[in-house]
Amino acid sequence: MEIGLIAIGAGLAIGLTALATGMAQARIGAAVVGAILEKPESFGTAIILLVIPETLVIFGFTIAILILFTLK
Amino acid sequence: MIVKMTKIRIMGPKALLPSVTDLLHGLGMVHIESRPPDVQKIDEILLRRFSIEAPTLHTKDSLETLLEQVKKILLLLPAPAAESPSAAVGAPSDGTDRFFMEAGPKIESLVARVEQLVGKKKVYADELSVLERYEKILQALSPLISQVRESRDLDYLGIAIRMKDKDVIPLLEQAMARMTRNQYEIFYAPVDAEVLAALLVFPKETYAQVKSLLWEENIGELRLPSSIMNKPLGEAFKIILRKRQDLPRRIVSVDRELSALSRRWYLSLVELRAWLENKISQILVSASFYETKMTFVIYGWAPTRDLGSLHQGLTERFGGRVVIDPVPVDERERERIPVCLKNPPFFRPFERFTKILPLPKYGTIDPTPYMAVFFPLFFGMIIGDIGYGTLLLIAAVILRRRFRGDPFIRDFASIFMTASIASIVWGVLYGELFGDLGERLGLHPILMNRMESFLQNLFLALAFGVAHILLGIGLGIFTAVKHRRRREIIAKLSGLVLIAGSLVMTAGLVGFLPGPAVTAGLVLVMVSIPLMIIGGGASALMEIHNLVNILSYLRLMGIGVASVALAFAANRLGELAGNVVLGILIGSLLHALNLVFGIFSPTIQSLRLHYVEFFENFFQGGGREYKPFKKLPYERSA
Repeated sequence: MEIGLIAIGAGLAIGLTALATGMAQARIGAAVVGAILEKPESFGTAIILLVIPETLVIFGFTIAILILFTLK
Repeated sequence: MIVKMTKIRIMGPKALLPSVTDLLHGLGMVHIESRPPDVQKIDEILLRRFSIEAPTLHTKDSLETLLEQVKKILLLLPAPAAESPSAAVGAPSDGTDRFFMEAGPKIESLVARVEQLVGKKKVYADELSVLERYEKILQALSPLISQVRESRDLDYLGIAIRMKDKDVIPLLEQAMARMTRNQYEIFYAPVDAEVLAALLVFPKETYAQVKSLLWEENIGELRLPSSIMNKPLGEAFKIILRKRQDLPRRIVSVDRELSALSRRWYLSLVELRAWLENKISQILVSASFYETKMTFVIYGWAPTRDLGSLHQGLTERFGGRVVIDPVPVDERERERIPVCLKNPPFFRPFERFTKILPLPKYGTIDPTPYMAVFFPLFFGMIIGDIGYGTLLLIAAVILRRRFRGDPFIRDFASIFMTASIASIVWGVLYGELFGDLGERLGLHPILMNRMESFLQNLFLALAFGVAHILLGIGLGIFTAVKHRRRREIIAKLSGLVLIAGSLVMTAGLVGFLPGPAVTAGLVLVMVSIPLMIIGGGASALMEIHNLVNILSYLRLMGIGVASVALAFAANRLGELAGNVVLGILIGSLLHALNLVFGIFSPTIQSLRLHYVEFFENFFQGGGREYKPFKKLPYERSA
C-alpha cells in the first residue's frame, strides 16, 4: 500500500508538471511561430522562450526521483 | 573572441576618390560608417555629405537594369554540368562605356532568346501533360472504336466513369434504352483501378438528347483538348499518339539548345553578375562618404590588427596623397562599434550557435569558446553511448566530406563530430553500447550505470550545473571589472557567495558535511542578500534565480536516463520477438528512433542550458555586425 502511494506521488509529480509544461509550451509555441513568420531573425529568442517552461517538468522529474529514492 | 576595432578616417583629394573606393573595396577591411556622430559637430559648409553626380546615377540605373537581365537569364538557364569554356561577356577590365556597347546588346538578345526557348518548352510540356491524361482513356477506348462500324446513321461518345460511381451504369443504360428505343450499345473498358472508360453508340438524331442526359447525370464526357476537339475519337487518338511521340523530341531539342547556351554563357554571366554587383555597391557606398571643396573624407571601422596592411595598401598606391588616421571613439558610439567574431578553427563552427542570438555587444565576451567546450560535453553526457556516438560520428564525417563546399552543413557536421566523440567518451564511462548490449558483451561502466545510480547521476548533473553557472558569474564579474561597474561587481560577487552558502547548507543538511556547515551556509546566504541589494538594488535579487538555474541542469540526467531507457527497451523488445531476424529488426528500428531523438533532444537541451542559464550571467546581446565593404569574387560558380 505504502509503495503504491509512493509510486502514485512520483507519478503525479512528473505527470502534472509535464501537463503544465505542455500547456505553457502550446501557448508560447503558437505565439513564437507567428513571431518567426513576421520576423525570421527572432528565431533564437523564440527558441529560448519556447524552452523556458521545460524547467517545470525537470523539477517534477527531480521530485519524482527524490520521492522514489528517499521514501522507499 | 571579439576582434578589437579602431575607428578610422581616410582623406584625400576628390580626384582620387574612385581609385580609393576601388582599393578599399578590393582590400575588404573597412566597415564604412555612414553617420559618425562627431561629423555633426563640424560646420556643414566645410564638410558635407558626398553628392553623387547625375551621370554616375544614370550609370548606376543602367547597371541595375543590366543586372536584372543577367539575373533573369541565370534563373532560366540550366547550370552547366561541368567547367566549360564560356564566351567573354563579363568582368571587363577597362571602361564602363565600352563594356555597355559590347555587353548590353549581347545580353538583350540573349534574354530574348532564352525567354523564347523557355516559353516554347513550357507550351510543349503543358500540352504533353494534357495529352498524357487523355492517352490512357483513349487507349482503352481505341479497340472499341474499331469495333464500331462506320455508319452515316450512328454516332458515338466516349465517357469516363469513376469506379466508385459504378452504380450510375444501370441508370445510364435504362435512360439510353428509353431515349433511343433500345437502339444503342455501350462498350466498357477499364482504364485502371479507378476509372472505367465506356463508348456509347447511338442513332445520330439522338446526339443532343444523349449529351444532355450525360450532363444531367453528371457523367464525365470525354472532352478532348481544343486542338482536336472536333475530330472523331478514332482520329483524335491517332493525333494524340503522334503528338505524344513528337512532343518529347521537341522538348529535348529545346533543352539541348538551352544547354548549349548555358555552356557558352552561364559562367561568364555569373562573373558578370558579381562584377555588376560590385560596381553598383561602389556607387552606392559613396553616399556614405563626406566631402569638402577639394577633398573627400571616409569614416569607418577596421580591425586594429589590419590597420598596418590598410595603411600600407593606401601608401603603396597613392603615396602620401591619401591619409588614414585613427579617430577617438565618441562615447555615444560605443554601442555602435561593429562586432567581428574571430575564433581558432576548432571553435569557429560554434559561432553558428552564437549567431542564433543577436551578436554580443562590443567590449563584452564572445561565448563561442565556452560553447565549443560545454556543448559537446553536455551533448555527450546526455547520449552517452558508444554505439550511438559512433553512428553519429560516421554520419557527421560523411556529411562533412560530401558537402565540403557548403559552409553551413560543413560547420554543423564539424560540431556534431566533436559532440559524437564526446558521446563515445561518455559511453565508455557509462559502459553503454546500444544500451545494455555492451554489458552483455563484457563492457563495464567506469563511472556509473545510469539505469541504477540515479542519485549519483543526479549529483553529477548538479555538479556540472554549479560549475557552468559559476563560470558564467565569473565571466560576468570579469566584464563588470573591465567596464569598472562597481555595483555590478558587488551584486555578482554576492551571487557567488549565495551559491556557495546554499551548497554548504545543502551538503550539511544531507549529511555530506558536518552539522555546523548548515549554520555556516546559512550565514553566507544571509550575508549575500543585503550585499546583493547594495550592489544592484532590489532587482539584483534576481541573482537568486541562479539557484533555480542550477537545478535546471538536472535535465542532463533526466533526458539521458530517458535515452538509455529507450535503448534498454529496444533490446528487451528485440529479445521478446522470439526470432533472431525479427528481433534484430525490431531492435534496430527502435534504436534508430532513439538515435533520431538522440540528435534533436540533446542539441536543443544543451543549447538551452547555454542560452537561458549560462548566458544570463554575462551575455549582453545587441551588437552591430561588422560588414566590411568587400568585393564579391568573380568566382566561377552559381
